[in-house]
Amino acid sequence: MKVIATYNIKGGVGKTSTAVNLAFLAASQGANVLIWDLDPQGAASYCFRIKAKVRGGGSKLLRGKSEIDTLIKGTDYERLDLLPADFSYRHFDLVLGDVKRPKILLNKALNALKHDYDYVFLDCPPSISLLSEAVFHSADALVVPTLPSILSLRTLKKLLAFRTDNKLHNMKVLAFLTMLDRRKKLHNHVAQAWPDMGPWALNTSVSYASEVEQMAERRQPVMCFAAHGRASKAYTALWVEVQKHI
Amino acid sequence: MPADHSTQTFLLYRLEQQYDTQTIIKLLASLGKLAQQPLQHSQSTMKDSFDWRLYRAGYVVEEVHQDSTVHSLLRHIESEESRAYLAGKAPLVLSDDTPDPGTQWYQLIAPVMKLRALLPVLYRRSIIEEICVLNQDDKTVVRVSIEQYQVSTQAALAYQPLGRFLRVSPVRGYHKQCKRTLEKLHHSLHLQDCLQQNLYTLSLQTIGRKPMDYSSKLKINLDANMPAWLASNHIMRILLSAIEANEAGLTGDIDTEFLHDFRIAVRRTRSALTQIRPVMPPEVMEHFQLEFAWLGQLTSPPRDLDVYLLNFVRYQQALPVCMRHDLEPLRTFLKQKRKQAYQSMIWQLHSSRYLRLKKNWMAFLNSDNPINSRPKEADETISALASQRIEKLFTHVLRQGSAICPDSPPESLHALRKSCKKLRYMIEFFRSLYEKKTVCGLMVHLKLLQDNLGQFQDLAVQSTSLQEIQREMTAAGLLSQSNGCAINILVEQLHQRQAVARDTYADCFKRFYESKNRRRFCRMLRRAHP
Repeated sequence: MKVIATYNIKGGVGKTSTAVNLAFLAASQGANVLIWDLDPQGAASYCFRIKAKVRGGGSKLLRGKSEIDTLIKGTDYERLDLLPADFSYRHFDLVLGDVKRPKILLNKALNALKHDYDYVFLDCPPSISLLSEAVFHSADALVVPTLPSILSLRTLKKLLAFRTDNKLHNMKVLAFLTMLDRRKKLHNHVAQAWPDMGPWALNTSVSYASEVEQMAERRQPVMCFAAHGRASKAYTALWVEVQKHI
Repeated sequence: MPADHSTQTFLLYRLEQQYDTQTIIKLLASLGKLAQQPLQHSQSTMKDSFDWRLYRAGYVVEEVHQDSTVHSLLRHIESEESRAYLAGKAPLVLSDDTPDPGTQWYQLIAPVMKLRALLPVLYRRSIIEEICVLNQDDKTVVRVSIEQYQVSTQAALAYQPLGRFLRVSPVRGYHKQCKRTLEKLHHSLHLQDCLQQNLYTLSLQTIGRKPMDYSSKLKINLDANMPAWLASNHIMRILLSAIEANEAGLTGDIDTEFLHDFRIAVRRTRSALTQIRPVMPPEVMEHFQLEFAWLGQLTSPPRDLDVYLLNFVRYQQALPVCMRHDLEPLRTFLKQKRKQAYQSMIWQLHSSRYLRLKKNWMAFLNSDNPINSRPKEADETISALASQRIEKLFTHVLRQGSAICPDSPPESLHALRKSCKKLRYMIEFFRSLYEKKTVCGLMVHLKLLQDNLGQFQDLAVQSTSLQEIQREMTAAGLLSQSNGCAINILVEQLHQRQAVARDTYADCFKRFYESKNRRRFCRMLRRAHP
């Protein structure tokens, strides 16, 4: 089982769109996939038309007091399941702060699923917190959608510095440019410099496309309603590239 | 209605003709919003190896032709879940050379299929109408489908109806909704209990195929009191069926295992002719011994070439990386020789000599074998004859093996190997007469000894043959200096591996010879069914 987290400290960069689309692609290729919506906003749950509610709340789930198996819902797509968000997930840091080894709590919950799924996608909330650290510890790869802006790059560098300072050498960072608008000079400048920024910089970028915004309206992965569009092709290429690294 | 459907991926019921799609839609409409999916017509070919390897592992490959596209699925037979997907048709044989060996398809199927080809087992046509029951968020909470199937043994032949079915597929996490749907459907459609058999097994039954109707493993059930001649005929008939079953695959050159299984059946027949000989008139036995020896000999060259080609990637991997490509001319030459050897063998298998052999052999096995033409031993019980033969062979193996020392020539190991084979075949023929656990224990050690002897001899044959092939290629101007050098290194490595096999012989034989194993053997014979 591979655990892939879509993560960025910044919000609104395309974490949920990435998680939803990559999870859909993996499942359509024959893998058994779970997407865990860790964001109390419940955007991924909304995209899959599943109520953002977990029986017993997030604390019980994380502490291993709820059977994770019974909380999973099937989506409308074969081999793709969802562990919904819950508003109580906003208290995850409190739960993690209360235990001796907070980083392994998430790992324990994921271990219970290792025989059922080939991939688990974690759609992470925008923050740097104990939950984030638990995700860093558990994930095989961190897929980081990055806006082509100075502040976004700065945030990405902070994440890479955090990795070095905390000796998280096994934490694989795979960053890609998202919402790229070639009409903007700054975006082009960043896109040109991007490949040389580091081994973590993926070649695939996802340009700005209205289809991605429509995902929330249609409540479907972009491949389901715009299979031949730019966004669909970009996410397909992204998935191919991510797979090569994990 | 099933008490707990929460763990089932679907429930399948036979559906009466009177209940059409509109009736079912009207019923489901009372449960909530519905979304009717477009009608799906598809044609599938269900595939497996000749010896049902996927079936034994609980799987089948389904090649789906739909809307001018083709894709293949590895399906779990009971749950019908697809465990691997492949765009396009499934490759006939998976090998080390297959593109993308890292894919899930390869990783799941290769260990099961190994060298065997995927062959059609049955053809199926389906028409599926799916209705999704939705909740207030337009989320699918239950899937109901009306399915019609027809099946056939061949794509071009007439299809037989399999029936009409109603499938209810719960969506994980929405079991209450599924329960409500089932209650409604049961009440209104008077559904019987859901199908106990899976669709694939039902399809096989409909076309008259029995799963696992071929296996390379011998399954001979004998009654201990059977007269020896009758038991002998029974064994020979089973072996003849195995020979005939593999003919089409062999002459079609579908995969290398057809020839392998054909040769094993011929070897077993020869061994039976030699070991059970007293139950046949001597002149009959002599004639058929010669003919089956001829059959064994004509299949040897193609099999040897198959083995070299099957080992080829291993040969290359034994060389330094920079030299591996230098073996390619050898591979090309071996493939050419193999083609010629197969053509020659197939021509012989179409000859009147082979057809006469089968006809006469079958005629002999089916004859009344009158008492005055049988040797008197033929009327002994089979258990007495079997025990006598096995004991003699076992003692012979112990004596032969004990006489081998580090200085013994290779021929002595070769002779021991032949004796071990005879012993093994005899135990395989008559194992139903003995206690299963004891036979298994004995076979483990016998097999280990045979593997060691086999490795020693096979490596010797391979290195000699490769040197001969090298001379042929040199004479034909097909070998450069670097190619020749690569082959020399390969031959040297084979010699080294052969030496290792020789060194481990003593240990393998010791385990076979040890008192625990000999006691096991005595126990086996003593406890033979009366």
